[in-house]
Amino acid sequence: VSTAVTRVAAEPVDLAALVAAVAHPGAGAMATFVGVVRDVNEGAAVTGIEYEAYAPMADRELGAILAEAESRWPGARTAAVHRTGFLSVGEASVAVIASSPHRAPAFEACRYVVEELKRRVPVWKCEHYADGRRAWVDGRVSLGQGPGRGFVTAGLTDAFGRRVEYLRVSLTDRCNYRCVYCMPAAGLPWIPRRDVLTDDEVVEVVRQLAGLGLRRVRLTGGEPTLRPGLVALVARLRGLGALEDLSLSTNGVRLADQAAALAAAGLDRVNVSVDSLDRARAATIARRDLGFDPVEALDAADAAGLGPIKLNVVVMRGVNDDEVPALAACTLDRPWHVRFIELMPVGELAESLAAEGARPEAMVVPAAEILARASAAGGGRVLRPAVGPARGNGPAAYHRFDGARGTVGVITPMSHTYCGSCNRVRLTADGRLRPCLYGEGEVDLRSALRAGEPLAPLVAGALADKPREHLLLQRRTGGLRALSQVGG
Amino acid sequence: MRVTVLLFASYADALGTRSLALDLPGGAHTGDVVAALRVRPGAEGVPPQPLVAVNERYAHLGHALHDGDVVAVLPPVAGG
Repeated sequence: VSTAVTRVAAEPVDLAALVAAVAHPGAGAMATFVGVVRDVNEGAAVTGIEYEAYAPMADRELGAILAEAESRWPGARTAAVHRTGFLSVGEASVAVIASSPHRAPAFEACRYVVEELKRRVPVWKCEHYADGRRAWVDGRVSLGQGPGRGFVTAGLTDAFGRRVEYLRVSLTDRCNYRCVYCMPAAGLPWIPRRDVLTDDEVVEVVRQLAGLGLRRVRLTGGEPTLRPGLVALVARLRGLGALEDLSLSTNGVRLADQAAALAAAGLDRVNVSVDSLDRARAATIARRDLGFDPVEALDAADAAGLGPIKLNVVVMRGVNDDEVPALAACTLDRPWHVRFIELMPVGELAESLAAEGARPEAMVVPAAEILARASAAGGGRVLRPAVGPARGNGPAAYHRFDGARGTVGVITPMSHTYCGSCNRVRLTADGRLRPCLYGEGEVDLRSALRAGEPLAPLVAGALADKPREHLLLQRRTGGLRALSQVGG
Repeated sequence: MRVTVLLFASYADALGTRSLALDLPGGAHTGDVVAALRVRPGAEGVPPQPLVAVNERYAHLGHALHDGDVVAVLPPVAGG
């Protein structure tokens, strides 16, 4: 194990030294990432970047990340260096290398180190602009030496300094399913139609938040494909020109019909809920049989170019946990990312099960068990930790069977906290902004919109209240709103 | 007890210093350090619940402190 080059340094990046640090006779592959200072960021001409580090902690954290990578990908050796000081456009700011007997683990270990480094290593960058200003990139306080000196850009930053750039927009609270973990059999008291945000209002919220730093939007429900005019709304959101990623969460029932039109309107990708591959069982979970074939819908989405395609599976003991291997096997020859979600025994499910004298906690299948059962699907291929799909990784931990086209992910709201990296806020169908899925706080943007008032002060207030960790971690699992009401 | 507080990047700019010594009562925790910082001039640039590290390791707000600890208050990291 070589972690010889694991530090922040004021000297230029020496790629030859990195190669030497991970070279050995069994290393048949080396993957290198080099980050370089570029000349423009968010429209402003950049002349250079000044990097500052908390050097001893950065060295320690970087060393820990390299050790993690070498333990996750046995046989890999890794090294990394991050520059400090002022760098001009074109200079390398960071370099990561991983060697391995074969190329796939080298690529994946290298990617892992890069992503973790950006998330954890205490390094900050201050951009210097052509007009003489300079600004710290966390978007909080900009201190300039030119005309813009001292201006403050609050942006979408919460009380913990997390940059919030991802908004989930619930387009309707209605659904053509009544999934047992989501909604009562009889449905819910629907939001009156006059209270649901119009297309104009949805576009206006996204437009204003984009001005504060919003970059990614996911359309959810209820079931968003039930909203009339969805394709036109997607085209308008894409037409704002501000979104790097525009995606849709759906149960897939209408996907085979709409996939091509949605893709043409500018939708990037879809997440599809697939709780069972068996039609009768899916109908039992959804409490409705709509004659829906998930594989056909996913193939249509694939053909329309709505990838990377993700399948979301809520794993319930005694209901569908026996299908974990079959669903995991879908990733062997399709570029699908199957994400198993630990059941969240909150809201509707908790209340209805408790009313029947059952314990919702007993239906939770922990992540470690899900992974162990999924690993049986490889037919001799080993399931290893991996980097997930290129975009929208969110809270899942990904694994991949050797040589497989897709990945197996596990999302663990109960077992672990993923709140520390949470960068998302939610907009309900009736225009309330919810900073945390499980929090109580929300602010009413619809009234402000309809009164013609700016949203930024309300948004800033809501983010100041975004909890550091959600209430699930305190095992408070009753009395919360149903997932269909807050957009999953 | 006395602890050393380190500030970086935008927080150092906001508070006009990169390090300072704080005298705290026994039983103090990292949240008390943040509270003490937030009454200083320029503290509007520091959020109410920033990332903190104690002796070079990430720590929660509420982490108990001891005499001689080094508490770093960290802006959202932005390497790469």
